[in-house]
Amino acid sequence: MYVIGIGRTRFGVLKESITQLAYNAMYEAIFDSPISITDINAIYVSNFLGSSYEKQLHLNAVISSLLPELRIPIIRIETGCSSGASAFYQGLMALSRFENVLVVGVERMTHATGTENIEYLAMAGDRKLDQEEGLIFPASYALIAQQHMMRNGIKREDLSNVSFKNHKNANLNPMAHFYNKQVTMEMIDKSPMISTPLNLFDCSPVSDGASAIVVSREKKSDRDVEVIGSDLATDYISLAQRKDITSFPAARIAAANAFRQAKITPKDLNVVEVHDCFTIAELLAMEDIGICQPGESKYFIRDERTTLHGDIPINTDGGLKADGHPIGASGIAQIFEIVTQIRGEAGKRQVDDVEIGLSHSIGGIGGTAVIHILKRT
Amino acid sequence: MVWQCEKCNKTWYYDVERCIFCGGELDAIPTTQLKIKGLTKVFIHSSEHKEVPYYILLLEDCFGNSQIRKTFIEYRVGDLFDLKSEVAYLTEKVSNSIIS
Repeated sequence: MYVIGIGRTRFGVLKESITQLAYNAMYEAIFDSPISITDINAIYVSNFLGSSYEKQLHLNAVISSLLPELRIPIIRIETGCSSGASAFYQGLMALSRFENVLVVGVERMTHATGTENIEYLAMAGDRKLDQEEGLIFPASYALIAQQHMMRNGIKREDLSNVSFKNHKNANLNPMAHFYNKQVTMEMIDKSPMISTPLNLFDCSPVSDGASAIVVSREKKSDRDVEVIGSDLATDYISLAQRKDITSFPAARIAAANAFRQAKITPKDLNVVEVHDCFTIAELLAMEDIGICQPGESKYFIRDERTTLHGDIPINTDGGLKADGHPIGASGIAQIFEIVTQIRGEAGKRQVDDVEIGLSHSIGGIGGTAVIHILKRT
Repeated sequence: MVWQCEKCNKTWYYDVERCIFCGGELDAIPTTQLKIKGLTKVFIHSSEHKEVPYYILLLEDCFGNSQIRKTFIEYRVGDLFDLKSEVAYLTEKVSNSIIS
C-alpha cells in the first residue's frame, strides 16, 4: 500500500467554506499524484462536528457534489479527534477491493464562540459520566497531567518545553496555524490557567482546515511512500472507566501491532507525529508508542532529543499544538507531514535522512487510537 | 454505581442485564466510600457549566473503581469525598438563590 499523493490547506482562522476547504485539499492531493480524479475508486471523508458547527450532515454526498458525476462509493468516518487517521486506516483497508482511494478530512471551527467550542468538543466524552459532570477536555487532560506529575515527576516546565518546541517548529511550517507567530517561554508560562495544571499554551488551538491523501495498491512513482504498518484500537470512552490514566492502552496495542506488521522497533523511527492536543498528551504518546519507558518521556524533553536536531524529532510541523487542530483534518495532516519528511520536501524543517516515520492519533482520551508507519520506497 | 458479571467479573458503568462475554448475570455494586485520587480546578465556562471556577474530582472506591464528580468545594488529593458536605453546600446555595 502506497501514499501516492498528498494535499492540504493552511490551518488557522480561514475564510473558506467547508466545501472550499475540502475541495482545495482534494485538488492538491490529486495533482500531487500521478493519477487523475477519475482513477479514484472510493473516498473516505473525515469530519467530527459538521452537524454542530455547520448544521451539515450527509457529508459524503456533499463531497460527491464537489465531484460532478463521479458517483463512486463515498463514506464519512467519525471517531472523535482521530477521525482523520481512522479515515486513512479505512482507506487502506479498502485497497483490498479498490485500486485507488482518496481520503479527505475537513473541519471548520473558528466561527463558533468559545463556549460553543467547549460544548461541542466535550461530545467526544461520555454524555453522563463526563459531560454532565463538567469534564471538558482540558480538564480530562489536566487530570492526566496531575496523575503523571504525581507518579512520574513530570514538572510544569516539561509541559512548557513541549509547547515551546512545537511553536518553534510551526514557525518553519508556512501552512501552520501559528506560522510567523513568535511564542516565547514567558508567554507560555504567563498564559491564563485553563484547568490546573494546564494553561492556555498547553492547549491546541481551534482551527479551520482540510487535508487529503491518495493511496494506491501499487507503487506508481519514485515519490510514493509505502505504508508498512497500520492499526486502530479502541478503549473505554471515559476516564472514570480506567484504572490508570497515565497511559492509553489502545495506543499501546495499536503501536505494538503496527510495529509487528512493519517488522521494526521504535528505535528505527526517524521522525514521529503524535497527537499533542494538550502538551501532556505528547509525553504520554512517547511512552505509549515505546519511544521510551513509562515515566521517562520527561528526560527526552529535557535533553532536547525530540527537537528538529534531536535523535527522534517529534511534531516537526508544529503538531496539533501549533500546526493547528481542525479535527477532521488533523490525523491526515500528520501523515501529510510524515510523507513530506520522507520525500525530503519539508524545507526549513526537514530532518536529515528520513527513511521511516510514524503517526499517532487519539480520539477523546484514548477511546480510539490509530498508528501508521510509513517508509521510503 | 457499577455492574459486575458474577461469573467473569467484567465491569460495566452502564446498566446492562447480562454479560455479553459469558452470559452471566450482573450484580449492581453500590458506591462505597470514595477517596480523592486526583483533582483539577476548571476556569473556563461552558453552556452547561456556566459558574467557574469549579473542581473536577477523580474519585476511587475501595474496589479501585473510579468516578468523575463536579464540585464547588475545595478538596485535596487523599481526602475522602464527603456527600453530606456536598448536599449541605448545594442546599445552602439553592436557599440563597431563593432568598435573593
